[in-house]
Amino acid sequence: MIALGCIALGAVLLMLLSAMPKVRMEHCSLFAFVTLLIGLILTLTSFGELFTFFPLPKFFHKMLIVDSYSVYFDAIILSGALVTSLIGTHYFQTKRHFKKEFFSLFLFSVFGMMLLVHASELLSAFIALEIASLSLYVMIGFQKVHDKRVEASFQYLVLGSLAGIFFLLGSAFVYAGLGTTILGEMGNRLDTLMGKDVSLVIIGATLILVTFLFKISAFPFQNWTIDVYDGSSLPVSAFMAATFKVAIFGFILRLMLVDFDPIRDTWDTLFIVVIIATLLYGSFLAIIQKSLKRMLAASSIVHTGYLLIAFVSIGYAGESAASSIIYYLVAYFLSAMGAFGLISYIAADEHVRVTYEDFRGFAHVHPYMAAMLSVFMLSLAGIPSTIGFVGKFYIFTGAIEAGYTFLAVCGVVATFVSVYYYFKLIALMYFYPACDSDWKDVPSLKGITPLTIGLIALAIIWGGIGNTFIAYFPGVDFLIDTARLSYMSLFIK
Amino acid sequence: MTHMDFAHPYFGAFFLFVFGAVVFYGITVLARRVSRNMARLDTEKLKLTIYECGPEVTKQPNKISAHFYLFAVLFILFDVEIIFMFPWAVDFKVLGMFGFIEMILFVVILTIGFVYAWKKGALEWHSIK
Repeated sequence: MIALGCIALGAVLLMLLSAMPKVRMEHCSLFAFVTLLIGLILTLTSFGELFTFFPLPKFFHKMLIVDSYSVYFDAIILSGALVTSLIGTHYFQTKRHFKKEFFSLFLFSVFGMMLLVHASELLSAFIALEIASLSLYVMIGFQKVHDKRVEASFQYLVLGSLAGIFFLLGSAFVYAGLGTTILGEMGNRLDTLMGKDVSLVIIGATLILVTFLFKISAFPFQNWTIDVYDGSSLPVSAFMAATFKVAIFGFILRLMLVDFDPIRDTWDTLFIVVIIATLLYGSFLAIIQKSLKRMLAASSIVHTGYLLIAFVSIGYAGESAASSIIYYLVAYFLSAMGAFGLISYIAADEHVRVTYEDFRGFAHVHPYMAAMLSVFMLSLAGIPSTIGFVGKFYIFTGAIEAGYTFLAVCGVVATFVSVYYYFKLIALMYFYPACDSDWKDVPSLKGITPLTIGLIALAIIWGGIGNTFIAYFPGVDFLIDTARLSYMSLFIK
Repeated sequence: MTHMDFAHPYFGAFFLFVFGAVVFYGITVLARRVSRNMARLDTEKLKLTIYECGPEVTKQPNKISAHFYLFAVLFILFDVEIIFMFPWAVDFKVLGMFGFIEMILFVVILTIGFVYAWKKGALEWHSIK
């Protein structure tokens, strides 16, 4: 909670600072970084404890909640933002079109995401969602001279607002059916209505689910994803892919686990169709892409499909499914952040080194960068000894435990297909002679950005094989245990 | 509860889901089609001007500057503030200390925005930084 206030204060201060002519962009970047670091340290002080309470109940009227669950998600979001700002350092310095206000918007967006996982009421959740999204729309279209940016920003704005309408309409239906919009109380009212007609609540919850599926880009609502990710600058797409998805899942898991628990199996069939379609269509989109950035955007749709598999199996194996979602979010966040970050470091311009072909023989010129890029691709594909494998392992075993063997098989098949588009890059980098491209503008491995990316690559391998080497150092088990703990904190009365 | 008389109670949920999907598809497809077909791809300057038999159009004498929107936005800022303050002032005694603090917070948030706009030079004509 203090971390939340810290980020909000930092964002406002940064906004005022950016109006001063003397302050330079580097100062703003540093200020945002320090704010995020303080926020992360404040969050980590209560990380791994089991607790739940309503902060200032007289003031907020149970609209916000602080528990181990939200603290866990806070930690993921804050470290995601921190990594984005570290990785982006090089990008922001070389591309001069990022003005000072960009970092203020960045902090506001982080604030909105944190507020979303703390939200304990539908309307405050909506406001948090809009704070996060509105800042993102502006961040995407920040480079006004570039047509692609403006188009992406506008498309996301229009469709995102449409999704917002669905959320509001859904909240209205839920309020009509239950007479409250406070999470927790909604679940209690729903329990008393058992056996009666609850179609209003089901309709409302379906509309809220539409917003949710839109924001995580699941099948019928996925057609904005590639254009928007491709149109936005690389650090922003990394931030969107990794961090925003975490926040959305944070809220919707709370809603589904605590409140709509009695009616959740209504959507089972719907979800199975959505998952299979998401995996199929996402894989298809990823295969046909020629540009790396578009491929990563399309593969984020496939990863949404994997996450949704765990989301359906919650009904039958609640704890393990929920913690596997949380774990997979961490795994995906690390891999995607690394991949997007490294590509943003390598690609000097929008027109240089964007397609697969441009990376032909890259390993012979820059072996370390190629090795790191391979680690990220391996982790995204879910090859053993990376964190991505452990994440997929938990999701598929959870699905089999819950009785969704068919979905698990679909997931595994999609993983096999994904090997094609991830390994294409590795094969091109290693097994072909270097193309006659000019590699001079690729920066050397110096400074904070490559260091961060290297650390992420190490963390990915650590998450896959670590744990047994050094005792008492946090690894996979620690993350899974804390995820279980945060799941338990949802049900403390 | 008296509402829908569907044969299956969950038909409504399914229908709304499909409806949402159709709306999304419709809007993306429509937006793409409209922007492809109706956007002015020819950006030559003379072709975009008003038809004046060749010569370029002269400046209009009573043109309103585009910067005027900043004043309009700032006006709305204070307008909304007053709209919220009226009911608060009427119920001041009922709301008490809680309402007072809430209103202070509200005004502070607005002031921050105003200070930002001021520092950016939004109040000076032709000097947006």
